[in-house]
Amino acid sequence: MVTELLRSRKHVFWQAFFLTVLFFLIGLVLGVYLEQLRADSSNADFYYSETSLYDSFALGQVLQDSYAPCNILKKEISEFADKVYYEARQLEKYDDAAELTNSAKIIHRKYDLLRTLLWINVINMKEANEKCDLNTVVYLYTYDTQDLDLKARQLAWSRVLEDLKSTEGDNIVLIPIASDQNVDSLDYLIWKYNITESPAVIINEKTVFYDLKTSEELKGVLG
Amino acid sequence: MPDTLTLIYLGYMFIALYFLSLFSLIFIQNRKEMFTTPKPNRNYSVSVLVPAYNEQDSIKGTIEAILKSDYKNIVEIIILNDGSKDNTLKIVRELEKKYSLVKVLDKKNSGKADSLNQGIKIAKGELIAVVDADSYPDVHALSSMVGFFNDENTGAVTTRILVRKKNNMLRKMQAIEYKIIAFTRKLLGFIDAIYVTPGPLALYRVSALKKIGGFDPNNMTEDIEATWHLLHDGYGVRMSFVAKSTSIAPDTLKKWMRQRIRWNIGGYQTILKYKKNFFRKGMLGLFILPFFSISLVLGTFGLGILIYRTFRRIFSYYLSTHYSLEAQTAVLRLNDVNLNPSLLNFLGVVLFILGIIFIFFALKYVNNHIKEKESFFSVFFYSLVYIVLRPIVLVVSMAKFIRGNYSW
Repeated sequence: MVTELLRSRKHVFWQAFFLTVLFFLIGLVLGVYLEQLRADSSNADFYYSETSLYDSFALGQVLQDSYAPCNILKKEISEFADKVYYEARQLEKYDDAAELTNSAKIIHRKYDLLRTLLWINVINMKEANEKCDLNTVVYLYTYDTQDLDLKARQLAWSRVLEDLKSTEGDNIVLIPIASDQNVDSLDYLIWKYNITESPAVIINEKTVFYDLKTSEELKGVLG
Repeated sequence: MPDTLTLIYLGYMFIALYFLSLFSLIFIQNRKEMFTTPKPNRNYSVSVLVPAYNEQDSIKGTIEAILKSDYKNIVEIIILNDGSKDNTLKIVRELEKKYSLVKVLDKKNSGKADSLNQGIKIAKGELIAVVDADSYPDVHALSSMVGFFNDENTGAVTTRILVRKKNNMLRKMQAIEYKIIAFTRKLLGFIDAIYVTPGPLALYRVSALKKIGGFDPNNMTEDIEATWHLLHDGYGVRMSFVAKSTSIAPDTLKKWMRQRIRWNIGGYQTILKYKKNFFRKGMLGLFILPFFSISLVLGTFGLGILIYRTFRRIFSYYLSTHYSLEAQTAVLRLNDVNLNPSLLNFLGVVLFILGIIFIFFALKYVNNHIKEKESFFSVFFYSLVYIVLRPIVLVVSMAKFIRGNYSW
């Protein structure tokens, strides 16, 4: 009788297994749902920013044909760059927290394309109107790396550039772009400006820095 | 697709959640029987064996505790003096003169297992109680264990082992640990999976002990080996949750390590001895062996991952600090703090909270009958710090075992 009793008690192994699977699946579904929610939020910000970029393209076209000061365009581009920068920072945090889906990575690539378009727009604007003295600080970094030394250097660079932005304000347009996202237009610019390694900081499409600099040293190079 | 480390974490979490669910379900289904003690259907005669090696500080207290037992059919208390070098022999001879039940077998030092085997040869009782010389069985312990032998298949009965002196943090941690072990061991009893009858107090059927050839003198943990041998030969092992015995726990980290290394090495020896029983019928092969072996692997592997991740993080912080100082920029910014919870963080926190709840519940359940209480800080310290020591001991034990560098 005791043996029978014990035999019936051993069903508990299967019961525990099914219970665990149930809790796990609920957790996984919640996790995927949470990551998707964040991705949707980032996508919504992205689409809004994309529209703003097209608006700045249009403004650039209009101002080329008039004698209006380029202050308006500088302000527009600077504000846009700041907005995209902070959205991308938020996206990075989502990306760090994402473990189940790649949705944040896909949106990250879209932002890199957006920032590449921004850079191209600024280059065109400066070529069209030499009097428009907007300082561009483009920061190229490697997004997908496990190299601790590289990550640490890139972290230091991003802090230096944040310092620079906080002191220079609208005088500079800060455009960080991941250089390993297979964006053809960016690859062309990298080739055009002869950028050989990452991370790299390109100031006004003329000066390229690879080794870490202080924000004061970078300020000295600005126009 | 999640990366390898994420999959490993999820695997660990699944296993942890599984065992939490298992123990919770066993408790829910058997909670009314936790304190059940069968009334003995006859008056078994009990011989008490007390192996002693250099136990001058505690042996008198142990014998006096046994003598206070309310079980009326203790036929003898045999103290097995294993070549003690201190005053143990002098003290036990005095006890022998004072109490008619007490007998002394003085022998050359040959280890606990061999001492017990010699005691089994001369014991007269139908049941043998093994009591460590630094343990004090409760007055009701034996009487609440004997009834489990009504089942002719029962080979051994174990009991709650609690820590006697809790005068420092290490002993307090062990007190918590022993209580949780007592609770989970009782739960394992409901599924016929008790894997050890610890030395502080265990009761054996003499015929079963003789059938398995007594205790293995080559094993560092003769109590684990005897239990597995009994299970292997088809005997049942039960636990009385009412009975208890208090024991002295190590009070320094060095003594604690030595004890745990011995336990672990004994575990490895026993796993190897019974390895042919893996996944064979019976709870020894289907649960105990896999459970022990998986714990070893998971514990060692988990420690390796923890060390790897910790060192990687420390190195990463060092590098980012070094470069930030070089670039004369802030070493840490508020911006760098990421408050977005990841799935692993979330699952980890949930599991940790569930684990704490389980621990608190187990402690409350055990303490209810002994009127004790642990502080919240002690339980937290146990969950965050003490538990992490175990995989470290596991790795050290494995290294010693592989090198053959061990002895009693």
